[in-house]
Amino acid sequence: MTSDVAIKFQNVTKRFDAVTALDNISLQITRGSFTTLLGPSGCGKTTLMRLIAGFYEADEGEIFIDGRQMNGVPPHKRNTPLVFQDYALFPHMTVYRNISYGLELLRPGREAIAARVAGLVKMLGLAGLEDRFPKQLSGGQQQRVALARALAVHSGLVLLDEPLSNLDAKLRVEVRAELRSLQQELGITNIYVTHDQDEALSMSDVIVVMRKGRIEQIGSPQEIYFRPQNQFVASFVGTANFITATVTAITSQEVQLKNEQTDIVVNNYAYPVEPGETVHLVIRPEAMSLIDEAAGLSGNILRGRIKMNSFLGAKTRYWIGEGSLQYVVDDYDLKANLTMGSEVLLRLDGSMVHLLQERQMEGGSCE
Amino acid sequence: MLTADIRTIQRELVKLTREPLLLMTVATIVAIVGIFIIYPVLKVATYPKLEDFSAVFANSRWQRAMVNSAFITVISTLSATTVGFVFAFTLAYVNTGWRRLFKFIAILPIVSPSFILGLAYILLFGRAGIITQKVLGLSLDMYGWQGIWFVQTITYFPYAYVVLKGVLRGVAPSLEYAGHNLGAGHWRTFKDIVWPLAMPGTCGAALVVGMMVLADFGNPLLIGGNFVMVPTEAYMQIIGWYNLSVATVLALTLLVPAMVFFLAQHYWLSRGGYITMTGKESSLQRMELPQAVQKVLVIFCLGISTVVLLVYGVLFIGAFCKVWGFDWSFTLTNLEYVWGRKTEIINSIHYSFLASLFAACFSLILAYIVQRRQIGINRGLDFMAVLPGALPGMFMGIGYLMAFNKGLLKLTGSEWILIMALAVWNLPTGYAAATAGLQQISPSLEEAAANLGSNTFRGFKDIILPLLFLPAASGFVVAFLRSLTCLSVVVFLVTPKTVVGTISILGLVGDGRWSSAAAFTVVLISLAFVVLYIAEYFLGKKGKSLDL
Repeated sequence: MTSDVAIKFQNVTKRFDAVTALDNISLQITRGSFTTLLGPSGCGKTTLMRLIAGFYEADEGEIFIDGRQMNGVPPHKRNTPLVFQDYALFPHMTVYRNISYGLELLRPGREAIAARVAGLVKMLGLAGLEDRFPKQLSGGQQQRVALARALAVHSGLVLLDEPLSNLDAKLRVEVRAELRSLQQELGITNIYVTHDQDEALSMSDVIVVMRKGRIEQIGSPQEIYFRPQNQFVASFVGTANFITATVTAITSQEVQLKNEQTDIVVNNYAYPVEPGETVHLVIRPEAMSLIDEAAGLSGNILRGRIKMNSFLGAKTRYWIGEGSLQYVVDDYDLKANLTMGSEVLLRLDGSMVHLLQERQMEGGSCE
Repeated sequence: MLTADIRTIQRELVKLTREPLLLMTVATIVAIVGIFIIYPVLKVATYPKLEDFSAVFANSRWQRAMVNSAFITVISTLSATTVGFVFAFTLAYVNTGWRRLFKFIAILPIVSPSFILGLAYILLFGRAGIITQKVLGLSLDMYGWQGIWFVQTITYFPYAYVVLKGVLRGVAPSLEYAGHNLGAGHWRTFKDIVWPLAMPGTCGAALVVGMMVLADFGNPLLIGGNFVMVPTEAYMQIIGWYNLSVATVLALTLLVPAMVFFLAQHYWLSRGGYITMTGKESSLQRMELPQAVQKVLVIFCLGISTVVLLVYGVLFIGAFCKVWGFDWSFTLTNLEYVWGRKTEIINSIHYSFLASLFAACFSLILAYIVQRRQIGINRGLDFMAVLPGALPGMFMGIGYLMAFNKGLLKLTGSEWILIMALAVWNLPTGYAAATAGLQQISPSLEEAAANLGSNTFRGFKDIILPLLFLPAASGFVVAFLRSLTCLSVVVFLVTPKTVVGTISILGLVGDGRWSSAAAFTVVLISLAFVVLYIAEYFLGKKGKSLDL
């Protein structure tokens, strides 16, 4: 294992009675990266994190942290500080004592502890709160104390288990940015668990998308969003429209397709498809735009009627349907005044469409 | 499934070997549970032979005793549960100025020896009783089943009340509003909504009361007269004849229904589905009942309260009068007499303190291991922790008498047999308090401590112990009060050197020295109240209260 790899899972399986929470997982997490484990409830992301922390033991496979095998090593000997979802601040200890607790166990001396705590308190904006108890703090302050406590023990790794879920929406966005900035400044490895795709996309270097105990895809946020490897990832991360079409021709630049509504031309991103093959187009809401008329355009035109709309500030989201087909479209033209039931034309941007083969759609129901 | 369980146990045992302190603790717990809970029970259960059972069940006196015990248990349970329900209902639904009095009355009998009602009954209705002799001018024999029924109802209704107040609190007021909103009046709302939701908890309360009535022997001994019952017969067999064969059979006939009640009560009270947690905090007040209904409820509770206050009042009078029934002049000689026997009061305090301390500490560690550590025998340990609650006190007393009277485990004759018997008898109290306290502590706190480098011992010391201090203190105080006023567990275990207050009172009653007995009782109850109020004061400052 190279020194770039902070954590390695090798064929790890974890079961709880008859339920397989993790099924033969292999994964490497790069040192200094912000890696997010993303997936719906029950996908195994928290189980994976708790295996790293040592709260669970794997039934099969090996886990390595900094090259050391960790199977059988108890949690208190792993140095894998964790920011809990409910923060788990010790209610009978002050902010100062909470932050210093892990350090005290390392016995570096009172002055060293005081210096370390003072540095963290300043970094995380907790100055003046050292003598308060957790119940005297706001949610955001508690979250910072939990983070400070995890950072205090000089580990190059911090685990974060949905730490923003108890914060209100606006605060969540602010803290998200701060967490990312802090991680980059300190250069520590962060492993972050969330079911919120916006958090995952905005904060991560690498996203590991999980479902039912398995890894569906590992990649950068851009890869996950624009090049999902199957229907589940496409649906779970962002909103996706799916159109079925048949490949009619392939060139090095394009793939030409046809369905009952229109001819479609999309960019060819080295898809392993063949003419005559049925494929599924993954179309993000922003990959379609509402147009007034189709004059001069030969393909990539869909039509439908407006079923519903939702004003979202910077854009309006439309649900547009035609027969059994329904598309979700984001329109950024704030001056448009489209009424319910009116017929509209949609133009598809072929450079923003992704193709999935039939095998990538199997069993891929959306959650 | 079995293979998975065995694998889990194996894995947990391997984990234990890496934490020697935890392993030693578990081994010690298993040893203590084995020696002081399982062993005495087995001693009693395996002592009698088949012919002993035949002899007892063929004997008409003991047949009558079993029938009488069953009869009293049923009627007392029904009446005590009803009274407890009315008390709990009144306090939940009626805004009355008598609230504090009713709450006080409801806990009074819990902190007093269980047989004081029997003693007060004699002072009121005995041949020289205030009511019978002084008020009615009669010389009647008021002993028998009616007296026992009356006394058991008043003695044990508070235990039903304690369970039922929690049950009624669990019925969300919004449901009653919904009932009225749909057209149901007060009676229909109670019949169709409140009662069905409260019913399982009421059954649980009845079973708690039933267990206690079945096992009680102090009151039947004092006022049963010729009405034979199983606990009194078992007592006579040991004290009078030292006939262990019959005594153990009789003790087992108490154990079987007690265990059935116990298991049934656990089942009913764990059926949380009937407690409506709507998930939202409601600030709704209860719907107001019709004035007439409120008046009836308050008058009923006032009636019960008067009886209870009469009991304590008569004890107080008895403590300060020269000779009950003959010379009512004020005197302090009874208290001087009690002072002369202060060794017994000191013994009561001493043994209760040590027993409660042991019970609180042991149950705290036991609860922690059962709730927070998977060691493969968690369920077994959990059952052992609550089992003493199912054992009639007398059964425990006989078990300890038989188990610890020779060899390496000889404790008979020493104070330690009393202390251990009381400690084990109070184990369920401490265990329940510690378990409830642990449920308030999120497991993630311990995980956080381990995550930061703290091993099991440090985590327990730094995190769990400080947070469990108040629940453990509450459990300690309740165990102390129960031990101070306990009779059935200690009656077979005392010696002349180790006599405690409750045994002294029993002796004085047996000698017909009512005033001295009343004085002793007043001193013991006063002690209990002082401890109770000090504890409530300190716990109140921390925002907690005793869970009686």
